[in-house]
Amino acid sequence: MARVLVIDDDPAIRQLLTDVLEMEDYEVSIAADGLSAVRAVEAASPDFVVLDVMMPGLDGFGVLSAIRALDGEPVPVLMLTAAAEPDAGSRAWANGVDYYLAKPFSADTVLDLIDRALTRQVNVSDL
Amino acid sequence: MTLPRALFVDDEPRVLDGLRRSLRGKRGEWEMVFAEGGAEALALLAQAPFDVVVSDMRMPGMDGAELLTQISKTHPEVARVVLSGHIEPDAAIQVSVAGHRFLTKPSDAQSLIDVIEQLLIRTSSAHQREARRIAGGVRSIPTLPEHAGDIVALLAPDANLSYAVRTATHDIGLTAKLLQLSNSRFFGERPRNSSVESIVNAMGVPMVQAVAGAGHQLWSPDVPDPAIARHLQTAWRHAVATACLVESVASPANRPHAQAAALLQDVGRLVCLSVPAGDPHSSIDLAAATRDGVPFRDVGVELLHLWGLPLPIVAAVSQRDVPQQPDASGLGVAAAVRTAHLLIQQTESRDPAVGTHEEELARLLSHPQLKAQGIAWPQAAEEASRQAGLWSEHDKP
Amino acid sequence: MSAGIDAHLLADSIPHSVWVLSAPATIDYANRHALEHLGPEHTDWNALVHADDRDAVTRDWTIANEWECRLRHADGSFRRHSVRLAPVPGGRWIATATDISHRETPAPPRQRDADGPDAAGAEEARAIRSVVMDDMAEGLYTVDGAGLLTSLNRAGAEMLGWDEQDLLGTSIHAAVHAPPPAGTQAPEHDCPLRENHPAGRSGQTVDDIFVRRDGSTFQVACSVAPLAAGAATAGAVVTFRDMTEVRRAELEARHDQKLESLGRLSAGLAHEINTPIQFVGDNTRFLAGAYEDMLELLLVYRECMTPALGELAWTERTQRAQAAEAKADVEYLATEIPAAVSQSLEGVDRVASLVRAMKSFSYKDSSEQTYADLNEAIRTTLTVARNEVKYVADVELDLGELPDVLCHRGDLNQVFLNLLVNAADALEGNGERGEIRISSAAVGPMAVIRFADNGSGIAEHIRQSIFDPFFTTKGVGKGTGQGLALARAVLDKHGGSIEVQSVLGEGTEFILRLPIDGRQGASA
Repeated sequence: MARVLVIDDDPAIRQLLTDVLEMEDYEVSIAADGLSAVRAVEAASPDFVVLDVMMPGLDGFGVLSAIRALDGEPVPVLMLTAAAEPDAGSRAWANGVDYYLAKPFSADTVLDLIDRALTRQVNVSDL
Repeated sequence: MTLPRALFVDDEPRVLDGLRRSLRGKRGEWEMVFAEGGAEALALLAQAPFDVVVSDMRMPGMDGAELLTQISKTHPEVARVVLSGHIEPDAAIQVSVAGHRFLTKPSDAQSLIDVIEQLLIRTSSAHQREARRIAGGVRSIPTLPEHAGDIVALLAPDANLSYAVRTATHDIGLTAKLLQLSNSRFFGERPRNSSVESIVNAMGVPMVQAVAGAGHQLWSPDVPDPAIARHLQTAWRHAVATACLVESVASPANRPHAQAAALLQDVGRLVCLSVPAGDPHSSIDLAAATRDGVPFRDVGVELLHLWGLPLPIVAAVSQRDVPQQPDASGLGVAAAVRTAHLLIQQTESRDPAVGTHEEELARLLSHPQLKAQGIAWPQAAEEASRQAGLWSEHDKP
Repeated sequence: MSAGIDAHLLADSIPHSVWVLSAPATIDYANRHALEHLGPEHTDWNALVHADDRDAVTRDWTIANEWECRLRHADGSFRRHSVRLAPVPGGRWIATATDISHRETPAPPRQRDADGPDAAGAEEARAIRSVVMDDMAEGLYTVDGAGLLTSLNRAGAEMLGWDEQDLLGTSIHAAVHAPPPAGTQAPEHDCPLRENHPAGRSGQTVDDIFVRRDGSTFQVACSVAPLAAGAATAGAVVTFRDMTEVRRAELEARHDQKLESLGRLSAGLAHEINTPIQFVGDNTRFLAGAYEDMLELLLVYRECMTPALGELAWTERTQRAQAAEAKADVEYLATEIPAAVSQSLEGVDRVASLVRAMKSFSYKDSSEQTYADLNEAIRTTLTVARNEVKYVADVELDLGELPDVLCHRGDLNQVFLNLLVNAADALEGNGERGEIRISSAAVGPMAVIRFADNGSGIAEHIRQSIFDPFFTTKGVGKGTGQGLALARAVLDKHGGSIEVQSVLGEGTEFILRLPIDGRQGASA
């Protein structure tokens, strides 16, 4: 079962994503701030990370660098940012995220994106 | 409509009984036949066609490796699955060129069902049977004669880890074979994203040497038709240049798959053109890029699919010539490969058989993911092309 | 007849020492030469003799008339003399001594230690002997004819925890042989170290257990040699070596070899375990689904039978029932469910017995022997090695009535395994299935076990060498040639034997013999 780690200080977002992903048989774990996020990545080795950029303490970019600094192959990271930030996108890309979505976003978009990234959705017969 | 047919081979009748019972749920979808040994299996294959064969390895009389090798020659269109308990390392090497997919015993019915269902899918929509026939018979992908020296050097006892990684990441056949084997527990635990480098690290140099050696043995050192040799060399250089460049194009987690897909983008061409000269059974059309009427690309995709390579790689290879319109949320693998390919088309390492698609390239390069990198893409492409050229240079006698 | 010259004058002019002696060795008269050279003070002729030579002289006095020894000069030094003794009527002797110290080669020493021609040489020799005795790694002690300690070297003292002084003159047997936990000390004459003395044989190596001063014990290998052959007072010199480390290393090495061959078997063993697990898993999944199907059918039946259905026609009910039965495929289930259950139980049994056999096989021996059922050991070995054999040969067991045999079971397991694997390897190239026959029987006091195969046989000129260590006809990686050498060593240790009979083109048979009640006189 594929494991997704959702890192967001907003409980509403955490709940929304957890519900949507668990319904599709993903195993979801959560972290509410940067530090516990990094520990969670180390401990749980998720297959995918959803990361909000705005967080207390260690912010999203800090978490991203920390995650990228860990041993082993890089884990796919989707970064969520507030649309109000004009350069958040390019900053995210420059820092080495794999996917990026500006809020507001629909949970289905996230699900779709994760499905494609973890190659669940693409069937060989769709090639 | 006839049902797909699956053949199960094992010397232990109890195992066959168990399989029969646990696969009962599929009896409406598949026709399943159970054979108690290689001889019986071959006899059954001669009588009527099968789609998939699942075989144990350790059997008295004809062992599994022998059986599957035989089937690859006489019935290349049959997908070959190895289902076996522990295998000794030297036997594992023989096995690695005999089968398409590898499952360890004990395996649960669902895993086996998933594999069989996958193998029943044929990726070439227009040339289902032919593409399967050509791709299915391939047991190992050859190394270009110019690079044979690299493989021989890899087989030397003093070959070290970094040499093994460098050689593997520049050899199409070895990359494909390592990705195929890494999917199975036979050959060691699989690291998560499976870059070739981490696979080589996980398997260890001796196992990689054995795998390279097993494949190497299957190809004669004869130089093919010189025109074809040049053609292949061009394709190889293009692939290596693309793989080098895509490292900057793809995002970190997508890099391993993108690099593999870039290197394997023309595996179909390599396989189709590497037939012994004067083989009466096959006709090659270089201009149309087909063999026996089947596009090289279809053969390549079918091969990677049979070998169970990760889906993003297979998809990216399949879509190399398909214009990409990636979502703003990210390029993913296929679009990254396409972008790198188009950039290389502007250099010396271009593939002359396809166009340059400048408009599409410009659009791709304007994607926020790529703009944010701050890289001068044409120069980066030139550099990648130059590197690829150097690598081929050092092999020249 | 006298020539008219005074006897004393005559004696005094002889340039050799002359004495008249009466028993036991009293000097009655000494001529001038004797007085001048050897000193006048002595009345006991023996006092003139070098201390080290006295025993020999005493001995020779009784059996010979002529000998060589060192006599003390007036200046205190000792010189070699040739001494002659002639008895005269009246119970006395006339002794003459000639100084032969100038002669080049001395007569062969009558004692073990080398004689120097002079005191300094003797001192040197004694020093060398001390160095040798004290620096040697082995313990060494000497005893006299009564088994009382006469010397103990430093290594021996260290190993035993006694000082030489403490044990001198005491019974060495009492010191080093522990009373067994349950009994009294073995009597002196049963001590194996004593056995060897009188017969005059030398160089026997005996395994034994010594006790240290603090009561702890250790294993030794001793070698006993008589000290002075043919003398009235026999003695012995005993060297001994602490074998504890060596024995332990041997046990480890054997254990390692056993684990190594288990390693070789591991691929086969894994296969033998994974195969039943595969079909037990498959069958169980099937049974889960079959149960669901049966339950569903039962529920339909139940429904059909309820009075609550009221007016529902009988035909309607039977139709429903039949439809449900078809869906469940009752015939299929009725045959397959029992088969799935029994085959699964069989599979579980197979794994259990294989694991049992593996445990039993890899059991680590102590150095003690125990009574073991060798037929069971053969069966265990066969189970463990089955995967190596089953593709190339049929195995026939002809195991007779065999009482339990006192042995090192683990070692014998290893030997059986080696022979079995050898037989399988020999039959492998043959194309068709071969035959291996293992038989056992009690023949008198011996257990006789045979391993026979119908392979291509062993050529005469190779047959001699097959028990040599590192001899192998197999390819690289397929056997190190230790198997048969080990077998021979193990059978020797058990006081048994292994021989091979072979006919080229027909087959080979290995015959093992070992005493049912263990090796005679063997220590544990």
